[in-house]
Amino acid sequence: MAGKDPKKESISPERWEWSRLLRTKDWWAVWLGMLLLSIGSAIYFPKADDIREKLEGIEARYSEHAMRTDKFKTISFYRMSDEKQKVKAKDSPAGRFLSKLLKKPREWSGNPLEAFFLSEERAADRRQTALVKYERAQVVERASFDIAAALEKAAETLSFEDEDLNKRADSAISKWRNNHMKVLKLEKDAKIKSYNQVGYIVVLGIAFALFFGFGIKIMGESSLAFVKGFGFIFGVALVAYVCAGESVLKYYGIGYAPWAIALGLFINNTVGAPKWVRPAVQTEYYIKTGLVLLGAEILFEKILFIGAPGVFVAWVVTPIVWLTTYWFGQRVVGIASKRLNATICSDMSVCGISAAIATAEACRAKDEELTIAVGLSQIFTAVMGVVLPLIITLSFPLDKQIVLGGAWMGGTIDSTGSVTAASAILGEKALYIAATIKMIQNILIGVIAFFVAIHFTVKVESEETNHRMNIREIWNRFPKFVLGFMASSIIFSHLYSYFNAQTGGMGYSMIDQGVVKGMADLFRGWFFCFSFVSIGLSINFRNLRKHFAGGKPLILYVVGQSFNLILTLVVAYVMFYLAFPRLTAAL
Amino acid sequence: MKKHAGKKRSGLRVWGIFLLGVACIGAFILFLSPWIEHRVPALAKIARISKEMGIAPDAYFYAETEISYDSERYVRESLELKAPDQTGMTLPVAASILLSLVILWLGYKLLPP
Repeated sequence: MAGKDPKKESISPERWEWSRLLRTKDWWAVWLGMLLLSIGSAIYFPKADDIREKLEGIEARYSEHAMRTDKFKTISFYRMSDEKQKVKAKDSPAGRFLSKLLKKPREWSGNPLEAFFLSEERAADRRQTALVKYERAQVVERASFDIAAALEKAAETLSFEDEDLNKRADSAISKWRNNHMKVLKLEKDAKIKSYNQVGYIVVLGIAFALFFGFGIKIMGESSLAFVKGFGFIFGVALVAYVCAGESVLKYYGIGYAPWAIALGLFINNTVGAPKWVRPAVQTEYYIKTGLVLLGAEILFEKILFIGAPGVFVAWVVTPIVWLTTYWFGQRVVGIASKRLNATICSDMSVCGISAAIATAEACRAKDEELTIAVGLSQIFTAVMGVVLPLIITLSFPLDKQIVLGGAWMGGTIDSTGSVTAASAILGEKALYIAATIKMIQNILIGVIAFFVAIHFTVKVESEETNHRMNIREIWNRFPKFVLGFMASSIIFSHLYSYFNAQTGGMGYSMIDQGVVKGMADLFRGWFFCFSFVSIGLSINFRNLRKHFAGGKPLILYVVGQSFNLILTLVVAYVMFYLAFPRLTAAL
Repeated sequence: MKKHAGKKRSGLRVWGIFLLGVACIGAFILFLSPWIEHRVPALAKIARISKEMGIAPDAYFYAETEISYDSERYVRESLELKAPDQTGMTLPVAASILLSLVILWLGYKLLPP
């Protein structure tokens, strides 16, 4: 069992016992994840009728005027879209409370205490500064709106038949939209209120300890010892969030994950984690519960939004890159651990850290292996986020920079945040295309995790145990949290499509801005942070060095990413410009 | 007695390294990273644009940033308005998804265990 982590849950392949449903972390992750999703559904779904009425009211008010031409998006079209966007199930008292309670430490600059506390005086100062910018932006927005409205009216008087006028109106409306987005952002800053998160943080820590402690007790471990140790894990997670919240570092894309691992590693390899913390170092338990919640965010209908070129770039190139890199890692580079190889492949070809987490758990990779994948992703994401926009602006023809550049960055840069930040340099349209490609690539995590779980259970573990497994053994060894992950994805994908079929945008209001943003996403970030702290606290630098021997993971990442960059660029060009030019022109 | 003193020294050394590390992390966050921002124009540009547009560059997954939803909305509405025949589950989309699954299946069959 060369690749297995001795700390990971032991698997008895011989026979199935029903007691495992309550005795293993794999199953507890499923129960706890599903419990949270059920609570979210119970809070938000009773509001479905209200939400539908609101959305239908908006359509009735704007639809006719908004859809009077298909030459460009009119001002009314955007107004209708904006109004619909504001309808969110999570904007209920329960949703607001959850969002306040589970809020992570905030962005700060200069004073770390502002991550938790902002006095009325400081808030007033910030409001004042933002208000000046906001009022200036409002003037610009109004001026651009007047131009857009005048051009739209002129185009309408010619029944939208004058192509040149249509183009000018479209361009003026786009400019107004850009200014409008800036005003919305500044409006938020201009309305900042004082806050004191300390009380909520204490309540949250206790609630998390009881939530996970309950499962620990049923599994036959000491819940008291867990609760004691959890305080430490929660504390380090808070520090990781505070470090990640520093405004400059935040804009470099350095999130909570590397901080949580680095802090854990640092503590473990200097003064060492106290013994009483060990019962709460439960990487698998936290990460798998988070992954079941992540499943609810994998909504399959979303892959249809960008048409065939986007699906091809995200869903066909990615598996090719994954499989080729994996083969290259085994046969050419000679990576000793197949699990490390698979984790790096997902990390590099799918979507960075979230894909690495899902794959690492699906193939039961060691903590050190996930740490290496996270580290590589963080470094290359930062580099590619700066280098790719430069390459595009310096070498791509002007008419290809937006769509081709956006698709290239969306398909290759690992994390969503870095994709959006890097593509924004090319303009809003490039940002929208890049972020949408990345989003549908995110959806592929479910498929890849399932594939990895099957491959490792059936083929790799068969080889490691030197015998061909029967169905029962495969079932016994299969990581059960993957079932929870897939089930939550299938259930919420179905619900998303069901709501969208009732009225346009209802899936967004009920699922995206209900169960996902109002429940799953709020908890998932915390759970992943606890798992990264636990990973750091259980790793020894010497072991980490051993996995990095000869720089093989680095070679694998560089070769795989280079192949990814070339293939994505070629396929994006062929699909967007040769195969589907009319769709590209519509973007 | 000697052994005890050695242990104590080693404990002090470890705590010294720990405190030095904490100081380094603090210095990195509070001084070094803002200093780098002013020295590397490409980073400063990314930070400025991200601030202006409300982007969260530290998001790992699409659901962690509102800009993903704005992007999805823009792309979906553009295609629905100007190329409605190319949106939804068209034949090329279905073929792409099928091809993706076939590639994974072939990978499962052909990859070395």
